[in-house]
Order: sequence, then C-alpha cells, then structure tokens
Amino acid sequence: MLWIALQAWSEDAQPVPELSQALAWQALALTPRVALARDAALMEVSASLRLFGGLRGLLLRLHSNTHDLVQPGRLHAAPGPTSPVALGRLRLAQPWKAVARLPASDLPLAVLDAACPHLDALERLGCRLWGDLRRLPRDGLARRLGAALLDALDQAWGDRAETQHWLQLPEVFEDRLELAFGVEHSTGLLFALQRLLQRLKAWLLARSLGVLGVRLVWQMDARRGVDREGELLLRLGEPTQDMAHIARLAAEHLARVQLPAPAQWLSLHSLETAALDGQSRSLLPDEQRRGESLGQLVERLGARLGPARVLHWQAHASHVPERMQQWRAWSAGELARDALIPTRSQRRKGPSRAGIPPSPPGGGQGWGPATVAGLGATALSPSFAQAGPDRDALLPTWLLQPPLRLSMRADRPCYDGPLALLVGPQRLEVSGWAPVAQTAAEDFVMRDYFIARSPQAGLLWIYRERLPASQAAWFLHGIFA
Amino acid sequence: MGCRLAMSLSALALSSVWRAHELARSDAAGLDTGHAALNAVLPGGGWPQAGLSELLQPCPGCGEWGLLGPALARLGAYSRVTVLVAAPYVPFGPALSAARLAPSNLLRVQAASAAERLWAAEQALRCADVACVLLWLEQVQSAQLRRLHLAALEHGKPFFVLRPERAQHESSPAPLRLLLSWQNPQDGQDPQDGQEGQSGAVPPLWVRVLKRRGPPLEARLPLLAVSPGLQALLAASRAQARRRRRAVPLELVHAVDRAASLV
Repeated sequence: MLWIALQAWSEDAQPVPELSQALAWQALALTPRVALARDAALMEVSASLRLFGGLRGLLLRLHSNTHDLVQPGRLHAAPGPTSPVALGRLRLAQPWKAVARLPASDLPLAVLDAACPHLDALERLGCRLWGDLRRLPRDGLARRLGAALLDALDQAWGDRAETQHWLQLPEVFEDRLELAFGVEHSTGLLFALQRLLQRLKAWLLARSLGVLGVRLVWQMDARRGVDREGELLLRLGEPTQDMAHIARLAAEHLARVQLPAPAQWLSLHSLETAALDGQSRSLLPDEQRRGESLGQLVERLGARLGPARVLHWQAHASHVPERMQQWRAWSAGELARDALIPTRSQRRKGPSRAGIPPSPPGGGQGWGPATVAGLGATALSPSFAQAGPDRDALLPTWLLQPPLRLSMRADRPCYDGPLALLVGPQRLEVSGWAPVAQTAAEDFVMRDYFIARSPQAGLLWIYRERLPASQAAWFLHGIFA
Repeated sequence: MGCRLAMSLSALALSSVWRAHELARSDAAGLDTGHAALNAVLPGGGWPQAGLSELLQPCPGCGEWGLLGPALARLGAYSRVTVLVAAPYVPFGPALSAARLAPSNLLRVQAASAAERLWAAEQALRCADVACVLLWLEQVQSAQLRRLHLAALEHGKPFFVLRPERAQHESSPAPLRLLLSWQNPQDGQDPQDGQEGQSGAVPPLWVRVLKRRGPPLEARLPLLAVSPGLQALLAASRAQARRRRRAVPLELVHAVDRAASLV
C-alpha cells in the first residue's frame, strides 16, 4: 500500500482545504481509490504505479494535471504506508524529501486526528510522539482515552484494516462559495467565479466532459426587501473545457447586471454537458492552433454587441434580389459550426449556388419558384442574353437594403451627379398565386433594372418601379464594388 | 569604402533591411492580388501576408470587392472565415459566389461606434479560424490602428482597413496604403469618351499607392475591377449602342426614354 496525501497551499504558505475536493477529482484520473480527509485529499496508488511509470512518473502526471488549479510549487504531497501516516507527514508542512523517511513513531501527536481531543491529557502523561503513545499499555489507554485512539494507532501501523469512504464523482456539478464580504457590483462576482470555474474544470477533466451550459446564481442580503436570488444562464455553442472563455462571456453579461443588494453567496451549476471530442495533435510543432475557435469568437461578439449583430449568410431561393439571401444571427443552440463553414463535400461543388435550401415553408411570402417570372426570363435587352449563363456575375456585390430613392434632374436619376445608363432595361416581374387582397404591396415586384455609371461612385445597379408615370421613381439597389 | 560597404550589404541580402530606392524584399511572398499590374508595384509581389493594409476611398463601396476579391477567394479556399466589421452595405451573396468568394465563409459584424468596431476587429484577429479581417472606419487614432496592426502581425493575418479619402493626410502605422478612385483626376476628361474597345466600355479602378516599402510611386494604376461577365456585358452594350447610333444618326435615343416609352 502506498498512500499519498495532497494539499494545496496559498501564496502565504497556508493550506487551502477548499481546494481538496477539486484535487481529489484530479487524483481520480490516476487511481480509483481516492478519499477526502478533513483538510487534504488522500489517494492510494499502489495499483497504479506501474501504469504511470513509477512514483516519479505518477507525481509528474499529478503536477501537470493540477497546474491550472494550483500554482506550481504550491501543491504539497507526502507519502505514507498508511493513510494516517501520509496525512501526518503532510501536516508537518515540510518538503517531501524531509518527511518521506520519517518513521511513524517520530510523528507528533498533534497531526493525528484521533489524538486531537486528548492533546492536553497526553501532554501531561509525557506523550508527544506517536511512538510514546504506542508504548503505553493498551487496556489502560482504551479505558482512559477511548478505543478510537487505539484503533487509529493500529491503522497507522497497518495492524488493522482502514475503512475509507471512496470518493465518487457527482453526476452534476454543483458548488457554492461564500463571499468574504458583500459584493455590491456585479463585476465583483468575477473573482469568486474564477474559483468556482477552477473546480468546474477539475470536475470536467475527471469526467472527460465539456460543458454546454452553466447557471450562475448569487444570493443576496435578505434584509433589503428585494429578490433574494439572481441568476445568469450561459449557453455555449460547443462543449468546452476552456474556463477562460466562460469567464470572459460571464464578464460581458455580468457587466450589464445590476445587483439590488450585496451578494453573499455564489453558486455554479452545470446545466448540460457533452462528451468532449479529442483534439488531434500535429506532428509538426509549429502547426499548433493559435487563438480561440470560431464558436468562441462569435459567442464573445454576440455577448457584447448582441446576437442579432453577428450575422452569417444563407442562400434563399427567390428571384427578387433582396430575397435571394438572408443574413441570419448566429445562435449557439440551433446552428452547428459546420453550418457556417461548409464541409469538404459541400465545397467540392464549387462556389455556385448549388446547395440552396428550399425556401422555408412558413416564409410568409407564399411564393414558389414556379410562380415567379425569372430575372432572365423576361430580360428585354438582348445584351443580357449575350452575357452567358452565369447571371450571378452580373449582380452587384453590395446591396442596399432598403433601396435608396434617387433624386431626379431633368428626367435623369442622380446620385452624386447625373447617372449615365449603360445597360438595360432588364425587366423583373414577380407575382404570385395568392389573391390580391391577401398579399402586401411589396410582394408585387415590377422593376426595370439598369446598370448605370456615376463618375464618382462607379457602376451602380438602379431600377425604376414600373408604375404609372406620375408615381414612377428610380431607386439605387446595388453597387458594383 | 562606401562602395564596398554597399556591396557587402547587398551580398548579405538582409530581408529586414530595405533601401529607399528599391522595393522591400520580404521572406514570405505576398498574397497574390489577382491583378498583375498591382502585384508588380507591391513589395513581395502582393498583399502583405500579415499586418495592416489601408485602403482609402472617396465613398464606401468603391471597388473594394473587385480589388480584394481574388485574394479573399484564395484565402477562403480552406474554409476559413473572412470577418467584415461594420460593412457599409449588405454584401450580396450570389454575386460574391460568382466571384469565387464563398459567402457562407463570411461573418458580418454590425458595430456602430468606433470603439465597438475596433474591439470586434481585434477579437476577430485573435481567432484561429479567421483568415482575414476587413474593417470599415471613419475616425481612428493612429495608436489604435497600431494596436490592431500588431495583433494582425502576431496572429499572421492580413487585415484591411477601409477609410475615407480624407484620411490620406493623417499618419498611419500601415506599411501599405492605397487610394482607390473611379476617377482619374490627372486627365480631367471622362474616360468613357474617346476610348475604343472593351477597356473603354469598362471604367477602370484607379489605384494610387500612397505608401509602400519602396520608392514613391506617382503613377496611378488602372485596374479592371469588375467581373469578366460584366465586362463582356458592358462591351456588348456599348457596341450595340454604337451600331444604333450609326444606323439612326439623327435620332439619339437614350435608354431612359426607351424605358419610358415601354411603360
């Protein structure tokens, strides 16, 4: 049997018992036999030594697993043949090498849990070390100080089997933290959140999961007569173990939260998790990815600017230029990352609009492709037909939405000066099956398109509404940039 | 002595040293712009692979897709994303895909204030899946641009800032600054008149190199910044108009008048 006791230390060399559970979760990656003591984590590693390359390899692995939980050099560990010895050596707060060969009989009684209630009595007996206690007559000791002390001693020497509550990982992460002082500004919660996120990461690593959504709840001072709780839900587009990303997202959201009363407790729950795909590593060292992923970028932009302002493109089957495409908000839940980036097979089709999805059934326009007189079908000017089949190349690269009404000067449309019409007209007529009374006026499109040239603005795509002469108006609809 | 020093300098061929009378050499070849005339005057034979380039325009929507399109299409070939921050108009997907620029690889960010635009551009530059960032800006301080330039250098991304023409007199950290215009102020006349053939039908995009790592360049480069299909259409339309003018010399019918007669 080989026991290792673990403890995280703060910067001023004080033990931090709150981190014991997170440490124990990390230790579960190395051995299934992990238990929690009052102020430390305990792991029994005799069965895992060969797998991880001996004690040295196992300790190296432990350090690398916990390096973002505990700063380097602040993880303290001590070995022992039994768990009380390992714990006792750890509590001496000395380096591994100094305590590794210290015999159990030389340990002070203050580091034995069972002896703590009787320290004064033992002091008067002249017992300071574990060895002193063991040399006393057993029956007298049991009568005066209780059998529990004897049992603990027997377990320390290995004469009696230990009973441990082996640690099991919870199914759902849930942890809370009492804030040292009432936090009045929501951004002040971030510091406490960092510590909760450290524990969440330990839990995720131990379960090999990525988190998809978390709930952050803060409890406020009840005396103020306001809501006692406030919460923040964070949803992520892809499972992640990147706590820095979650912290940044939470910071963006918390910056807009007003706390009506000082917060006293902060708790973090995992709402949804998913198995984390492994990341393939590159053979060449310089091919490693630098920077965050696209999903993280979009979530961060959406958190600050609003999700409706981060848009991606989607083709739409229509003959009306402004309905040929939709710029949709990138939302984390409904849209996988693959939808934004075409897969290899989609890309092989080339950049043509071969992969256009059918128009949505509830689109509200009631148009099918068969009801539409196409852009090319009614082209009046013969020169449009000469241009070849790829009509998309004749469309402008910028579209104005809504179209800009042009002023008229002497029957000529003007935009930064009078426009010279180069090509046209190209007639576009769209009408539908729906009765006239049920369709809005904008559903009927009757336009003559021209390509015009402005000395300053270059080539423009303008159209004229085909209405009676009194209402006829020219509009700028696109720019060939 | 000086001659020997100069010779030894040229023999060393230090890539980080460039003399003012010749174009800078760079270790990495530039990103092909798709315009041979422009490649010839840019250091490295193309757009910088990383860092800020500034394009100044008299008005938004002045030839940027035609100028950047070929390079952006090449960058997006590995399904990496091009981020447009505060684009002035709506990018029209069908036309872009006809120019081999997959619109599904575009991410459009609408940001109102200058601070939001700069922040969004910096976040995009830090993302590993982003190939290139285009940012439209009005007013900006040189220090803010320098910060973005350094971010683009660090993450190895080409970064284009599109600014109004009046910014040409402000200092800028960009190693490459171009001024785009549909007009060539050097010859005041309208190039539509008096020129023959296809090049006369298609107005060229005049590009002036304001700043580069190399000697100053006074000449403006005429680039054909419209798609081949549109070039053919414009040429055909011009030829047709000329035929009609020859056939009916007295009756000058303007396109607007014809459209009016159709209604």
